[in-house]
Amino acid sequence: MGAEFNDYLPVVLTVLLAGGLAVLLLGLSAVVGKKARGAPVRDTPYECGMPILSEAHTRFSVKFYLVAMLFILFDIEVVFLYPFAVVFDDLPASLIFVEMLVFLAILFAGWIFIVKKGVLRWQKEE
Amino acid sequence: MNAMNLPLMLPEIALVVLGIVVLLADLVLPKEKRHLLGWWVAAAFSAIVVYLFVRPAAGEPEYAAFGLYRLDGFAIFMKKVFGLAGVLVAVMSVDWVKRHGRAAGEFFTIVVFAMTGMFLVASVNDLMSMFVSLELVTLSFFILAAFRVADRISGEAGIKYIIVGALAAAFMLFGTAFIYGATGQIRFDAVRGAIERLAEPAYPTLLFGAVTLLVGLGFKVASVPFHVWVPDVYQGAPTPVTAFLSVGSKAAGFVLIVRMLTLVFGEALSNELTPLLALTAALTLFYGNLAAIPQTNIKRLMGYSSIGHAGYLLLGVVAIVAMQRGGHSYGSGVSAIIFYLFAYVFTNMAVFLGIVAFSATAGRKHAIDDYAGLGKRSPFLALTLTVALLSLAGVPPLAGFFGKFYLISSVVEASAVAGNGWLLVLAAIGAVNVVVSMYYYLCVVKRIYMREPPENASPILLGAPVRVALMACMALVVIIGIFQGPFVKMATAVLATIR
Repeated sequence: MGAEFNDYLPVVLTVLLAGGLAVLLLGLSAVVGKKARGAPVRDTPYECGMPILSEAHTRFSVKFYLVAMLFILFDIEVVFLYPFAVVFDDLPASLIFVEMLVFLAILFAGWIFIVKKGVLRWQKEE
Repeated sequence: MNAMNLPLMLPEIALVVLGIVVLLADLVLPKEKRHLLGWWVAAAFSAIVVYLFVRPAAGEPEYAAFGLYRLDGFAIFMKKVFGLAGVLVAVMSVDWVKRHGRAAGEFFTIVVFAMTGMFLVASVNDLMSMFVSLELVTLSFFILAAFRVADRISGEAGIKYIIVGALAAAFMLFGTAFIYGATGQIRFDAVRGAIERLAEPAYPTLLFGAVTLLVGLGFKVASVPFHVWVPDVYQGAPTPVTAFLSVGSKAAGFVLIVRMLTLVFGEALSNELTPLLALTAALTLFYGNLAAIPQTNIKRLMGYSSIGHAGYLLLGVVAIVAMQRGGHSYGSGVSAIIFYLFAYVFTNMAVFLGIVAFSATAGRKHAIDDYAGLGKRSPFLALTLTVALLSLAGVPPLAGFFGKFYLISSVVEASAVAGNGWLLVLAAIGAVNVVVSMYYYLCVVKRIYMREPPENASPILLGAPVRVALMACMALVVIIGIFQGPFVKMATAVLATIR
């Protein structure tokens, strides 16, 4: 084995550990634990709450998609703030600070737009 | 190269600000006035084009954003073309948006952002900024194509375009990844440098990456076999959007193909790419022109015609790659593409201006038969449509004729320079297809003049702005066709700035 593969040793160890732990825990609970008896519902992953199998073609309110989309959009803000913080020292402060202000201003315009369009209003006003 | 150099990107910055202003103005303006935002957009696009004309011409390429952005004569030229096309699109959209009645602000905002993407595409100098800019264009067009939400055909156009567009994006990224894998660089000049000292084993990786990237761009320019989305999207999208798409997506794609071939690949891949691109060009020419013949819907016809024109432009691309072999410069291939794009944009815009104006009175069916007797209902519109269609067909002395002549002669020149006789066959295929394309364009012209209008036909009313836009396009089509000299000189001057 070449020296370059040494770098991957931690990855191999992680895989082995994760797999080993899973096998160990499942094995232990099969050997030591009590068997569930009685109602078939006790064998399901969630004993209460969501039924795990149902028709995939159900309709969601379109509001969910809007909120999901907006979440992603505004999440990007945070994603950009991280590299911004990392390279802050490497670039002229005036440039990078103004850049971030511009970015936030654009984002703010988007926020005004969605609020004014009533996207976040969950129920129609009477 | 290592500076932000913001003033260089003034047009793009202005476009982003314009997009946000339009978006917010939509919230403030009363509903019945929102379609007037189209005039704002047209005015702003015109101002940007004027700025591009008066700004000192770029001698050496200038760089901004730490080398991600390159401004040379080619970029400025394409931005002028995109900007003028944008003005025409805004003019023809105003009425459409008014009739549509919903989401006027959003429509124009997305048009502005698509334009921003095109401006950036003209200036990319880096594999990643290339992808992001092109996707900005494509994402905007997804939304615009599906803009008439209540209409099934428009929705179908949007969905088809999204699926095919996602596939194309995947191809592009895949190719980009392989080029990066082979060279370890993403900036165009650095990739070029790495290719020149590339070790033999990495060569297939580079070739695979280049071909995959060209496949992705093939989707954008609608070349066979990546054309499947074109007819449905052209038919289903709102007509102003179809007009924008037909020039925007195609021109952006060809700009990137030219950039990749001249700035990045150089002569390294010439041997392999020449036959591949020549085959694509021949297939595209035949498919587009033959499949256009049985069409009964004018927008579908324009879709197939657009595939055919992608074929002609690919002739220029073939000339570029073939000539690069043995260290020749790109020669007339690039200038022929530049000339043809310039002529094509205004000719196509004239046709779509006509279609929009006609359908405002005659309904949205867009059947070619509806154009029967247009010569009597509106002589002006009939004349402009005829001139534009004849120019697309390549009838002298109009712009399309000389454009095709220039492209075909560039292939002949490449054949002589590269000593490749097969390219003469390709040139002949190009010439044959000019004749084929005359048939279906003339079929439309025949209906306009030789058929009687329907009984209850009303005259077609044209608004003053549309009339002016049509006249401007018409004047350009005729002037470019008759006085090619200055325009060829312009294209050659642009060519000189690329290397």
